[in-house]
Formats: sequence, C-alpha cells, structure tokens
Amino acid sequence: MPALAFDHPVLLLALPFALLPLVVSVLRRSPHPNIAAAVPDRPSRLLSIALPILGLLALACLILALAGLHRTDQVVFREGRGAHLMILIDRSSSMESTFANRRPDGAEESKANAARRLLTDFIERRAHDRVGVAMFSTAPLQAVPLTDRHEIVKSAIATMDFPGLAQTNVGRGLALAAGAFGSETAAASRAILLVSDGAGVISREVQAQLRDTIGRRPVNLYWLFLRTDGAKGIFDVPASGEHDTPQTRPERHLHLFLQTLGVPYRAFEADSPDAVREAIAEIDRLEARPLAYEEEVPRLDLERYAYLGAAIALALLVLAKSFETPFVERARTLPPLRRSGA
Amino acid sequence: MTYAARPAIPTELDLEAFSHLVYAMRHRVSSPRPGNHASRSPGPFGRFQGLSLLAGDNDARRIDLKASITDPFEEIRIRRFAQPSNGTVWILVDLSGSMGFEGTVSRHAVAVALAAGLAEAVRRAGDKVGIVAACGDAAPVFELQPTRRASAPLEVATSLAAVQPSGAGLEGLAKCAASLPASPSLVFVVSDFAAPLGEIGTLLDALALHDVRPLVVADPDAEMPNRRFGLVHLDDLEGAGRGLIFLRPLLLATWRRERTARRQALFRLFVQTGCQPLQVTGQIDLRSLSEDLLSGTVAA
Repeated sequence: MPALAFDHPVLLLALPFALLPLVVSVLRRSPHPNIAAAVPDRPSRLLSIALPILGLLALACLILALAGLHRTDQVVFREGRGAHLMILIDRSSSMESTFANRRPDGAEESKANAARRLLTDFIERRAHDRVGVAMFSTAPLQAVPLTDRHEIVKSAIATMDFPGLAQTNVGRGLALAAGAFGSETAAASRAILLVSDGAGVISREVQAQLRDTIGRRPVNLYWLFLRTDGAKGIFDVPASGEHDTPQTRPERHLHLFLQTLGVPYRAFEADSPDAVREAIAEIDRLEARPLAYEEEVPRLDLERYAYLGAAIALALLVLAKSFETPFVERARTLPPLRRSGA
Repeated sequence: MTYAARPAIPTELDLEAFSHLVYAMRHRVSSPRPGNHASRSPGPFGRFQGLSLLAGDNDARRIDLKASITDPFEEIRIRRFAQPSNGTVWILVDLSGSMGFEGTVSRHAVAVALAAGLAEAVRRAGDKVGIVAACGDAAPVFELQPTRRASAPLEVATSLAAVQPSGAGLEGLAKCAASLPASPSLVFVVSDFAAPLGEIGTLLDALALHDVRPLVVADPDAEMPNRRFGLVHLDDLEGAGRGLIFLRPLLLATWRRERTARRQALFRLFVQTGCQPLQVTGQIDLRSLSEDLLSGTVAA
C-alpha cells in the first residue's frame, strides 16, 4: 500500500478550486437564441464532458504538485524462492593461477576467473536470492551486505579478477559471513558458500566464536573447494605414517571442523571449471525454499508526474482553446432597416 | 444571460419609411369613422349595398333617379352604402430573451423598428394602434391602449428600446392576447418564434378571433455560423441551458435540415390557425414586406 504524503499540505486547501472548471467553461460563451435547435452530436457531447474534466485534472495536478506530493520511504515485504546466501570468496594469491597451478594463459583460465564467471551466472539465475559477498585473505572484508540488488553483488564478484593477497584466513572469513545474517533472515534458508582453493588453520578462539555464531543462527554451509592439480583433496584420508595435523592438511581439517558444527554442510571438490559448474548447479538445486524478505523502498517524488499530468491537460486545453470560435462573427451589426440606394 | 447594448431608437426618418405600408383587414370592421377598411357601417359613399325607401332612410342626397322613375310602385328610392371605416390594429411584441440575439442585425432593434414603424403605418392609415410587449412569461412590460396619437410611434420606439429582452417563452404574450378586446381586429405578432410549437399554438389560439399576421424575425445567416470548424460554447439566451458544440460541416448540415423541418412545421401551424405569416430576414426590407403584406403569402 503506497503511503502518500505532502511537503506543504496546507496548499491542499486550494483543492476545491479544481472543481471550478466544472462550473466555468474554458471557452468564451456565445449567446444563442434557441439552444434546442443547436443539438450537439456525439463528439460535441464527448468534448463537453472531456474539457471540464481536463480543467479539473490540470488544476488538481498543479495543486498536488505544489503541495509536494510524494510517496514516503517504506519497507515492503516480498516473497521469493531462494535463500539468503553469503558468498565468501578466497582472495589469496593462489586463486590467480589455473587449476593446473600455472599462470593463466589464453587456453586456460585462472581459478578466480572461472569462479567469477560461474558465480555471476549463478547469481543471474537466482533472481529472488538475497546475496551478500564477503572476501578474505589475511583479514576478512565484507564487500556487500545481504541484498537483493544483484548488480552490486555481480560487481563485487567481478573484483575477483584483481590480484589477491598472500594468506588464507578462512576462520575469520567464516565468522564474518556467519555473522552477516541478521534476524530478518530467520524464516528463510540461510547459506554460506565458501569458495576457496585452500584453507588455513583456524585458531581455537575463532573456532569457539564460529561454533557460537552458527549455533545461534544455523546456516547451510557449502564449500566449493577449487582443487589445484597435485594438491591433496579434502576427502583424502592421509596414508599411515603421514602427518595428519591442521598445519599439514589444513583443508582436510577445515572439512572435519565444519562437519562438527552440527549444521547441514556439503563440500564440493572441483578440479576444473566444469566441476565448478556442476557443484554450483547442485547448490542451486538445494537452496530453493520460499523466502520472505523485506525491502526498503526509498521516497519517490511524485511531483514530476503531477506536473506532467497538468502539462498534458493544459496542452490539450490550449489546443481546444485554439479551436475556439464565436458562434456569430460580425465586425459590425447592421442597422435594422435596409435603405435602398443608401 | 444578458447580451448586447440597448438598440438605437429608430429616427423619425426611419418611421417615415414605414408610412406607405399597406395592409388590409380580412374581416369587416365596424366603426362610424371613415377609414380604409371594408366595413358594415352605413355611410354616404363606399360599397353599394342596395336601395331603400326615402321614407325609411330620409337621406334625400342619395336619391337614385333611375330607380325611382322605374319603380312600379312609384316610391322614391335612395342608394345605401357601406362606407370604408377605420379599425384597430394591435401589435404584440415578444421581448423574450432570444430577442436579444445579435447576428447580422440586432433582433431587438429589428423588433423595435418593426413595432414603431407599423405603428406609424397604422397611424397614417387612420387606424388606431394598440401595442403590448411582454418579456417571456412575465406581465407585459409595455402597453399602449389603441390610439391615434401622432407621438405614439416614437413613444413605442423609445419605450421598447429601453426594455432589456429577458424571460423565456411566449406565455406572457398569450395572456395579453387573451385580454384583447373581443371585437375582431388585425394583430401583428412580432417575434422570432423560437419558443416550442406548443406555446406558439397557445398564443395563436388565444388570438383565434383576430386577423393574425405573425412577423417572423429571423436571421438565418447568424443562426448558421459562418465559421465551418471550431469549438463554440453556446449559452441559451432564454436560460434553456448551455452546451459545448464541436462545429463541423457535417453537424451544420444536420442543423440546417432540422431548421428547415422546424420552419416548415411552424408555417404549417400558421396555415392551420389561419394566419398569414410574414418573414423579416436580417434587415427589414420594406419593399418585400409590402409585397408580402399585399399578397398575404410567404413561401415556407
């Protein structure tokens, strides 16, 4: 329900003047001896209704415009199908290399580039999602809070092209992403999509913080692991005798840690752009639940429309006025008596 | 709605132009005073009405010698005549709102000139003229009892020119018509006859006793606008309403047809009630008015 308001409501007192055109004609009145003989036809009748209404519209629009008609800013509840999705992107420098761990050349694109392209497609498909973007390398950075304005989300994802920093501080990143969901997201599905090509050690404090945040606001966790050729997978159980510590196998231990959080969690290991696409399609399928969200609509000035309406009505009235003609057009009235020879 | 300034009062010269209008009365007048109209009144000259005995009539000046000599009873016969007498002419002037219309001419001015001019013509013919003017359904605004006063025409002109045409219909005039003297006389009705035919019929019924000559003051050039295209806001002079008209040749053609139909209906009504209508179109053309008065017919 649009809430209309006025900047200068006192001017609305002039609104009854808008009724004047119903009483007073815009055209000059021509006296006629016997109007019963001047039967109007259909166009005349239509115009005789239309012109006063145009006058009324013109005056009413002008008064409304002068009074500063606008729609107030407001919160609109909307419902869509999708999820509240936080995309958490790894900006470590290793994302710059290809899946084959080489510098990207013309034939092969970098992991960042592939992820950017596929994530952009993903966002475009999911029109009703509210998406936020957070990034992390050494420190986490919230790029875009949860929003349904996808242009800005796509812009944030596009920055993946720029070179990243050294480290992979995934714990702080996760904490930031998990904390980005506000109370308004309670009704709908919440998800964090972690896109990274590696992991780091999560300190005990950060682990406790993560458990706390996610325990309070459960989220669905998806980890899209962009595995580089030759790197150890997250599902690989180390061979006997191999060290199995977070320091040596940070990916596997992050995976184990995330499993212990007690929320739905899936990890996708992708070692090529195609595998990334499949993983994203799977997430797309999973995260489609009814979603109610509220949107802030800014104040909308309706003055210009009122002025436009008045201008159109006035232009039509001027057009009608330009066709105005007196019924009898005589320069001079003749004397009553005709004088032959005079 | 009111319209137009007061019309100029016709000058004596204007009135003089009317003095040669000739009219005839359909019925025999009855008056001892010699005049121009066929009458039943006996007199020393005029229409021969037969012979009578000198003993009875006692007017030795009109002895018919031949009839007296050849009379087998040797009676002295005298001639009898019905002498032309003068009558009374009434002029009823409609000054309802529509008479305030100004087209090629001011209808009010035409009505004033006609009333005063006819009064002058009647005075010159030696008849008495009585005038009644009424605005719409109101009481008469001007009444002049039958008179031969020389100043009467100018009085009429001055008084009628001062009246602002107003009101609607012919009801006031019909009431005046009903109160005219019961002896048949010639009645000119000056009006544009824009009222509904029913009201005109009522007026003519009230005048059934008299010899009625409706003077239809028309202004066809003005009633059909000379502009062929445009928007015009019409306001009825008799307060019958207003309306916006989108003038187009097609609409004007429709109006013209309706106008012709109404005119024919009006003239049919005149014929049915035994009136001889006269038409004044635009300016008063005395020559054609004279001809119409003499011939007693106007083509509808």
